[in-house]
Amino acid sequence: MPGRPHVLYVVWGFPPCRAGGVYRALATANAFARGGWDVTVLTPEREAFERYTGVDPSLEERVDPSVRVERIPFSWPTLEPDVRQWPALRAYAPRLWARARKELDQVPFPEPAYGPWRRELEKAVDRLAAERRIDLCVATANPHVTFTAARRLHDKHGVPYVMDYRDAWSLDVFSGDRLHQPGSRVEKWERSLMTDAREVWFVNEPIRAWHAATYPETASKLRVVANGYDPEFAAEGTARVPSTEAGLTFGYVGTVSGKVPLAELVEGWRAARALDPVLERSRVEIHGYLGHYALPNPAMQRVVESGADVGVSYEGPVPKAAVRSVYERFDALLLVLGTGRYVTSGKVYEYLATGLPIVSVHDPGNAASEVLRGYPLWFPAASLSAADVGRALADAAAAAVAADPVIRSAGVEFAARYRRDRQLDPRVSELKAVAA
Amino acid sequence: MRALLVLGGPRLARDPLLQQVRALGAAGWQADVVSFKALDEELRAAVHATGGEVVLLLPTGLRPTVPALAPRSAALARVVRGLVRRAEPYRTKVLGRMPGWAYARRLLHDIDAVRVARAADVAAAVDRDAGLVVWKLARRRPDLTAVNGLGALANVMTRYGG
Repeated sequence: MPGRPHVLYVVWGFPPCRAGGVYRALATANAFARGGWDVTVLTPEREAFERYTGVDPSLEERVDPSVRVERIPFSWPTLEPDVRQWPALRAYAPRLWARARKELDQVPFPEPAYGPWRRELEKAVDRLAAERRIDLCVATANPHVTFTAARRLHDKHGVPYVMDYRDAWSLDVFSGDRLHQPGSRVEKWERSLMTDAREVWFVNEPIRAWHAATYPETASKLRVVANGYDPEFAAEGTARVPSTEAGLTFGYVGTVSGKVPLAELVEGWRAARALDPVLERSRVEIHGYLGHYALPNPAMQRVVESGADVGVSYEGPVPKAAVRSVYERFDALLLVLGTGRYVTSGKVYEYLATGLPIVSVHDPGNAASEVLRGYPLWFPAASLSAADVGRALADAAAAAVAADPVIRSAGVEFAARYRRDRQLDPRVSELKAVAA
Repeated sequence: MRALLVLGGPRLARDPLLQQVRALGAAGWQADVVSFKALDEELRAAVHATGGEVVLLLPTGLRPTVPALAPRSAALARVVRGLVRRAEPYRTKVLGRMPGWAYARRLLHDIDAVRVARAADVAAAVDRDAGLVVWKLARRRPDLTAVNGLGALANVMTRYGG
């Protein structure tokens, strides 16, 4: 539309892709469209997602109709599922082929698997810039190769850009170790990209602070744009009235990865039942995937089954559209997470939106603790010991039974700052000054 | 539909394999497994529940047999079991270095493995070392759907309405 600023949004995982991070990408494109921008999204062809990640066609319907989606080729030879397409070298010497492939991938850009996409991206942004003036480029990682499109537009066409990190490039968010040492190609690319960026977005404060300390000259433009929750999917302020006669329902919603302390939760639940008679009539429901495959991971299933005698059950996966109704079954929520100072799980925000008591069963140093601090119905376990987890569960049960509406609404109000639109809209409107 | 799952190396990602075999069974597929490592009871039961069979190929080329007689001496049996157990890490290490063509050769010369391979509609290389076997099968059978990995097999299953 003439007169409106034009943003080019460069992203790898965009609908119908089913991979993690697609909701942030979807929300970002829609936030710019809502904010009065003409939005062009540059992303791989649909076929790439069909081959490598799986697709969810319903996600495409959620893209704002004014958003133009420009799809370009992307190939991922390492993940080529059709064995007939393999070269003989790969079939006969898979290790040698993999090593050679990894090296070759990193010639154009230091990122295995994605490096070769740089050529397609640069070709595409040159074409798009020739078609219509671009006022701003927002590039989302990972993969980090998307930043090369922003760099090209900046260097060749003078377009300012924003770098949006979902995780981090040089930081291992689980261990806190530095992945790429000073002087490496990645470090040089990252430093140079951040120096020229208009803004750099991170999903939480610990990751932002790490980058501010590592690249102090860029500290003033580093921002936190938390993942937040999507109001259309979340159960904002569920109004369930608990029944002490029937017992309470504690719920977990999400994928249970190998890092989730499931056994500690079951043991803690056992301990909690001895502390409060209401809990003896209560249950724990686990909703989502057990492991990363469609069928439940047998080892995790065994852990859940070990708690069957005390009311622990696995209820299976939940489609995104049904998440709200599942939350409405719960009296309190279980935030069971792996350890990681820099890791904030997306479900923290969904949990907050409900206004229900939240029991944290994770290392107190987890980044999720920072998000939850100040939430009036937060019950963190002091440690992962059965006694501490049990104590936190019993405290949450007492709060759920009390169900003070004033505290509930204070919780919902606290969570509102993490609505996805409230995270993105301030940035979108501030960036309009760039295009003016 | 009939799927052939080929395990090439001595390492076994057991749980994903078990989940996939169960998913195949739930979708009404028959799953046959050709493996170079013995599968445990739960895995074998899951394969048999689909109506499929497990073909075990030993690197020596010898077939596993059921002992006809009980051991003469319990003490001797214990010593033998202990030795076998101690040798296991070395055996795994040696098998880990066995080239893909050796696995392919073993499979393509085994009468039972060839039989299940001929009957399959889809062949999946479960691990990297099985890639060559499936690649060779694909060259011999133009009608065979040949995929790499359990994820790709799940996608094929979805495509065929599984």
